[in-house]
Amino acid sequence: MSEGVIVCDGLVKTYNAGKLNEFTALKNINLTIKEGEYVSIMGPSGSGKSTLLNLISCLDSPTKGEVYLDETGISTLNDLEKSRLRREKLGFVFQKFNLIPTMTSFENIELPMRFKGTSLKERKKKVKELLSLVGLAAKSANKPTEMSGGEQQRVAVARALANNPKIILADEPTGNLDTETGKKIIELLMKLNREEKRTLIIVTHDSKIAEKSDYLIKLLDGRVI
Amino acid sequence: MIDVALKNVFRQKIRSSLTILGIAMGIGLILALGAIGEGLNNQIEESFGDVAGVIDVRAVDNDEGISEDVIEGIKYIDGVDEVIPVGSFHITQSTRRFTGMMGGKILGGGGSTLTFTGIYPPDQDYLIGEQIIAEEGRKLDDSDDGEFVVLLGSSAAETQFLNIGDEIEYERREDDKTESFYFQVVGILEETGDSDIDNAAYVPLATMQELEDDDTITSLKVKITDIELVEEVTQDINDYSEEAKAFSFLTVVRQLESTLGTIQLAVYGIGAISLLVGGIGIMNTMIMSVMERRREIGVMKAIGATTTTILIQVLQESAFLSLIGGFIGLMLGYTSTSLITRYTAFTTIMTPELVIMGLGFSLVLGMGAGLYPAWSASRLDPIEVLRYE
Ligand SMILES: Nc1ncnc2c1ncn2[C@@H]1O[C@H](COP(=O)(O)OP(=O)(O)OP(=O)(O)O)[C@@H](O)[C@H]1O
Ligand SMILES: [Mg+2]
Repeated sequence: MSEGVIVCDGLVKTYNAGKLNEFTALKNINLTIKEGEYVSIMGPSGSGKSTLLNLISCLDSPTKGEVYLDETGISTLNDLEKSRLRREKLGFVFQKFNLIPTMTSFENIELPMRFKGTSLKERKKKVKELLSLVGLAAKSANKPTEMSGGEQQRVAVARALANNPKIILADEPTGNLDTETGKKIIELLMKLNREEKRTLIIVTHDSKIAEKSDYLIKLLDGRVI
Repeated sequence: MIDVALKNVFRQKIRSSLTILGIAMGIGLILALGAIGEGLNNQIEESFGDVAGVIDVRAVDNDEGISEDVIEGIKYIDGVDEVIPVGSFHITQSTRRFTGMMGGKILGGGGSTLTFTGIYPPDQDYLIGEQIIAEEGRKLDDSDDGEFVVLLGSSAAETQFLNIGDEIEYERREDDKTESFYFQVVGILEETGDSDIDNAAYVPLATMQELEDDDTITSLKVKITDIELVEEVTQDINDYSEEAKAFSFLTVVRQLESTLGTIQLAVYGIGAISLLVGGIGIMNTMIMSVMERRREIGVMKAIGATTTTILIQVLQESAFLSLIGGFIGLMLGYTSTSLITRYTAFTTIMTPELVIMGLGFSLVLGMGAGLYPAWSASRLDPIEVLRYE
């Protein structure tokens, strides 16, 4: 096995196997992503981008093949270990922000730390840090409905960073934002990649974003091209 | 994450309030019914507590009576404290002579008749109770044996219009001839609430035996050392002699209690159904709440919440709903039973056990009702939830 932080080895994902609506979304994917790399994934709608990201983030399991994170095959992990891995090694940014609507920015950002069991004192310190990192120190008590889309996505980025993950996974993080705001989010993510050496994987339809990445994975009909 | 659970409870204020109200009514009803039941039990105990510990023994054949030997024998049965012979003598015509202002005048008979209860004066404390005092005059004393004196219960004195110093006429019948004897009222007891005592007219047994030239004892009161032994000793006395038949009020009390128990069971059943309805309300609310929050729960799982975290979170929520309902129910139950106690003659009793039971019930109910919603929430697949909503 190679030295990649993420290694996909012969990944196949078949939905509804054996049924009439059987569909193979990923067909033999082999990838190696090294620590600190910025990778973008592009491809037409339905090509399997989100499916691939779900497999890498242990939310779903492959029909065939194996995903290695830090050289650990994720099929060997139980549910509890997968949850722990998700909250400690991975940070997620979603297209639709997915903040908890009843919680303030502060509470949303500290959530992964609460799942982990971090003390209140540490949480307060870390959330403060993250809020100023994403430029929202003044919005700590705001609920998602009291913020713009760009601001919400910045809170989401801060939440993704809460437990200091090595890897940040973003599925169309700019999909719900205007170009200008989207650019700022991408710049923020790139800064985290460059300055803090976090591995960054962004799924996008925007070729301008893809251009800046260390390398580009193009998917078509479940294959890398 | 109890704070999060608590916050979630109040997200849908009206819905949660209604759910809580449902539980509160159920718990309130159960507690009120329980407190009324306790009150009833207590009332039975109070009414029968004194007499329940006494075994009545009657001669099987009234002419033969109960022999000395048998009386002595009963004294040695385990658990027997004291054996009190009692005689019962009916006054055929209630006539009494006034010695007061209208001195010597005989008044015509009035209404109901009295029954003389012949006792040995030293036994009166066992029979009446040491703590009961004579409201007027005095109780019997040892020197009264053979004297024509009578000690009246409060109701007996009242219904017969008798005062201290009045005399009650007792007619002895012998071969169609009657002869009158006059018993002077020496004391009137305070009211006891025990109708046996309040309606009694106690006279010295020796006087009556002499008068009737008959010393057969037809009735005994047996005091026992421990109320728990009542049934056992009653049985032992019945086994011991053919001459006497023993029975105790405790059997009646037990019967009453078991009837009450059945009623209570039915009543608790009603309460349980209302609680069940409350529980279904919680379940309904929790299922809706989980459905509305599918996405949120999916996100939490995606960013690292474990199945257990979600499970506990939802369970906490439903336990909270129910516990708040329980507390309000406690207040409702307490208030309503206090009002009953204050404004009616009936005394309800809210015991600590009832309170603990009520809160315990609501907690268990909340957890139980939350089990399915929590389970289904914890099983939500984040990919599905995030993709389709
Ligand atoms: N649970 C599922 N059951 C059946 N088919 C599925 C399921 N999930 C995804 N698919 C199919 O797999 C294919 C890949 O889906 P995926 O979501 O990975 O596409 P995508 O590249 O992310 O597209 P988009 O750019 O629109 O987000 C699609 O054709 C989709 O219909
Ligand atoms: Mg997608």
